[in-house]
Amino acid sequence: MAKKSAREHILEEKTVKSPRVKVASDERIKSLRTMSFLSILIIVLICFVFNILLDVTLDKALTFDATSVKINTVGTYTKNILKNMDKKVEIYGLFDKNDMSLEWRDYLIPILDDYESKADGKITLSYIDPDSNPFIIRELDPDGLYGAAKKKYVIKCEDRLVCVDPYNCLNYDQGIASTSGVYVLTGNDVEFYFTGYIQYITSDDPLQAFYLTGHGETMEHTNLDTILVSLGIKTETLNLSGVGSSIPNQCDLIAILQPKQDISEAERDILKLYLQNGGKILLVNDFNENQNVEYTNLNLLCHQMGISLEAGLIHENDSSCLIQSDNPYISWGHLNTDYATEGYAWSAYYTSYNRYLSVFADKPDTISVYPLLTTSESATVEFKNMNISDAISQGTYPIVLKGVDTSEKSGALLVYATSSLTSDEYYGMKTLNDPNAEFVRQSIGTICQRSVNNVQIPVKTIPNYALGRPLSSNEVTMWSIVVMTIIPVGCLICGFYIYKKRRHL
Amino acid sequence: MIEISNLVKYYGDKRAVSGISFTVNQGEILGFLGPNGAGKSTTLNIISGYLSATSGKVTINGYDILEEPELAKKNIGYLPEIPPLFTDMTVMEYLTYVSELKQVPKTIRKKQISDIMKMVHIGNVSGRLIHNLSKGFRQRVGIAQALIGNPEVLILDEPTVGLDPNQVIEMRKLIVSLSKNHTIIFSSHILSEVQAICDRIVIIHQGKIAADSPTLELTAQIEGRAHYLLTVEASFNSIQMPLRAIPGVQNVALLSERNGLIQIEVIADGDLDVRKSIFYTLAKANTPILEFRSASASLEDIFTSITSPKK
Amino acid sequence: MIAVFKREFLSYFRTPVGWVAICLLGAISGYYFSGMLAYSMSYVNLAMEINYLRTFFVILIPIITMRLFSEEKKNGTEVLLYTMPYSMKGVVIGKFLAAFALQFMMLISVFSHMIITVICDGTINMATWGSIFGYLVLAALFISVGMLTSALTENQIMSAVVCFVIILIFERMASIAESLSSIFKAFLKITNLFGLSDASIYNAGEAVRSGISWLDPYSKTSCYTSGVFKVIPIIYCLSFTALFMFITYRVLEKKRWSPN
Repeated sequence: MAKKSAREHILEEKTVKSPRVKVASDERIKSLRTMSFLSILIIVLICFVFNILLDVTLDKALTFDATSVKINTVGTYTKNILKNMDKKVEIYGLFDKNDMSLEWRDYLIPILDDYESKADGKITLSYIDPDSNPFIIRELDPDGLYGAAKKKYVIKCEDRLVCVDPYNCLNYDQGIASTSGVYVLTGNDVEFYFTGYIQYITSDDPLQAFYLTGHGETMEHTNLDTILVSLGIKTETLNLSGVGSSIPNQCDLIAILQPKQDISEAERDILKLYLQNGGKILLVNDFNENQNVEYTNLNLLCHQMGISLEAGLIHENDSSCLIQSDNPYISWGHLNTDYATEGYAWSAYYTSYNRYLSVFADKPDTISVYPLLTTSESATVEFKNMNISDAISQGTYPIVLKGVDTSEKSGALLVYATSSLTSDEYYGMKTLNDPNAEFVRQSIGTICQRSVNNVQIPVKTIPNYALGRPLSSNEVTMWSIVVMTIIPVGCLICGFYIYKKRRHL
Repeated sequence: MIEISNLVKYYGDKRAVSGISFTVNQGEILGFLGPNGAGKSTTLNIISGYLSATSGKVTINGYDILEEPELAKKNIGYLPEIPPLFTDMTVMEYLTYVSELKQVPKTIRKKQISDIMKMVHIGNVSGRLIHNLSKGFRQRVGIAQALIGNPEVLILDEPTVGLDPNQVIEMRKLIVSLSKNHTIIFSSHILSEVQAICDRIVIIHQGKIAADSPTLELTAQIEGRAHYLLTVEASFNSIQMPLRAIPGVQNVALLSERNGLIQIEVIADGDLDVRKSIFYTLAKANTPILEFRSASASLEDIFTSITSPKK
Repeated sequence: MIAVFKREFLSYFRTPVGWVAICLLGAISGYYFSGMLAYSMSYVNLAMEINYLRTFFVILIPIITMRLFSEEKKNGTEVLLYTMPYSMKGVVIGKFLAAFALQFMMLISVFSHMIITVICDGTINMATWGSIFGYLVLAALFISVGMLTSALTENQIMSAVVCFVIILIFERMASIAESLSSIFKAFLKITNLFGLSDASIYNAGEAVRSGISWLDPYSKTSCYTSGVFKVIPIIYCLSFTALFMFITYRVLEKKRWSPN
């Protein structure tokens, strides 16, 4: 009888498909899979949350400055200032915090973070990029008075504002810069400037300045008012001509703007006393419409501080300094960097119809006179009623003189021989975002000690990465060869040698 | 002592192994037999802990391989189908690496490696790169790797595949000598091999166990049928009936025909020796017998003989 | 774990891979260093050099991590790892350490530059060590990413490519944040979804941008080059490294019971 061959038997078995044991095994795999996914998902979430929490809470606390000069942390002086600060300060960085192209970012961003963390909430630091947020500059500095611009910092406290350019805070090696055009950082003054500005901006009650009246002084001085307000100086008028008038108790500055008449003797005596007791006077007196006025008493007052007002008009002969090529009386005044030190960002200022000023020969010994702004080296003076041929020799003449009492009373007299530093007409032409405004702010700020010069923070040296001794080109080539060939090629050779050897083991 | 109960493994929709259960006793050599694709490697992978089963339980010396994997795997040495060799290492480096992996104590490491190398006769190639070794040597290194750490259980997946006859004999001798101290599971698809070495045989087919019995019993079952192959000069029709008439002959089948010669297969009961009757029958029919031999039982026949009832 | 580490690390040097990696980094950093030397004043700032090298992680890391797990899968040796009497955790950590150690060896060229700088009276200060530290922390993060991609596939090239792409995304995170936030802002503006004012749209966009750029590990670790030691970025990088290692471990374990 035919017996099924074994082969057929097996074929038969194959066609019978046994039902899958679906339930149990599938469940197990599914549950394993879900458990696996879930565990990964949960761990990822935990990771993220943990990191975000840490970042938000402990970031500042866990930052340690490991540099030897503590470049990125504030020193004790600053910490004290911050501790004793009682006003809130806002610092705005007008740029994108993550912009890597800013060269000075390493020197400013970390230390400002440190300012914020050490100030205990009194400083708020924010980075707003004017490119994406254009209204910020207008919001901070509506008049354009402070020069707020992209890539600068703005420090604000109530209604006072200071604008800081990071480049000013860094010192470069002048020698290298001049020879090879490479800017190598040598010093870091960031803490100095920022603490100084913070100190300044949160300083005490405003100073009180008075405009002297009664001599035909300019009554329109809104721009000067703004500048003084920005220095924390309030303004009012003062009339000393009446009998028994005196200078009020708090009088930090007296401004005499373009008087058209001389002051009286009584006034002169009052003001003399004021100066002797440490008062400050700003005198603006050009040589234009008042050419015929004799300022005898005023001049005597000025002599006390070593300055003499002369009846002469500065004539600028250097054509490169003329603002209008046909008018030698409107010229650029040069900053005298010997005496006009930090803070002045420009080197030339618009001056017009400058009165000839001179240093009074018999000035008291305790008085020092400094020129802050001068003409070029080829200016002359035209005296009234004098022939041009008899003009004085060409030289440098002062446009702004500062007389300072170096005794402990420290009175000061600042004389502007031009009206363009303070007049509304000038600023009407130019707006307050002009070098002249800055000059006024700096010069008045200095004499009223509203400046940053009394901050005791040393410059932080930046590590100098230049090699100790410059390498000759042979040495350079030698090292280049060592570095670029010996190590890489050496490795390759080693590798292939070992590989070859092992292949035949 | 290995216990496997109800092992099931699915690869997606494909069922590889379903409901496998058997036990291996201490000191036994178990032969694991089955054609290619039957599920041998899968089962061995599961036992050794490489894969995990879809369902079912494996215990090694009482330790469940899923619950206490470390303790269970400590006792296993596994040689998979493709020996896990690093071709960029030398034999010595490789064996040292494996012994470090198996956490063999440092003090006995070197001695153990040299002993094992002696045992599998690879001592003279210990410095050679594995990449440069022949298949036979590689296989032996694979076994050496399984032996490291002196595990109680050895699982060898087709260790003689691809070896030349001499090497096969060597391998078998080795396995037998190992069996004195180890429990061995040894898989193959060559019956004679399994027959020669193992104490027990488990036959697996299409993911299920087809037989599980000591070798002798199985052999008896196989030899319950006799297979003979003859080459004769005749026509099939003329000799078919006379041969079938011989008592004990179950089947006569024509295998091939050429130039007047036919090759036939005679299947008979194992109890009777029908050889003489075949000779006489063919002689009576004047049919020259050019070839008369016993054919070894094919795997298919084993299955059929095992699964179909005895005649 | 130590066994795995030893083997992996030594195999980097038995095959050309490790040597080529060191050679590559040596060549790149050497080029930069000799460029610095050639400046007229020889202004040699190693912190900048190391920062520059960070941008090359994109190429270097995939090269050294692509074979960590893929190779084992391919030549069948992963059986060894799975059948060992301990968990895969040790294996993952061991391989990670091997790749990390190789990364450390690759810094040999940088160390030689430091020696040369000292010989020529240059400056080595906290900023230099800080940048090496930042470099290593970042390397650890990317190595763990590479290890994960290697464990996911048995094809080395695939693993290298995926790792390359991921690191590239990390590197370009800042510009990605920028573009995504502008897209988001434009989207809000065009669809006028919640009727938001311009300022709110701007703020929302900025939030998206800062959120995404917070993820950027490059900017987080850039503080070390200026000598400032911040703990938070380390925690960030290490926690994500650990996360990726954990995912790698899970992926490997999955192989046992997954249907394929």
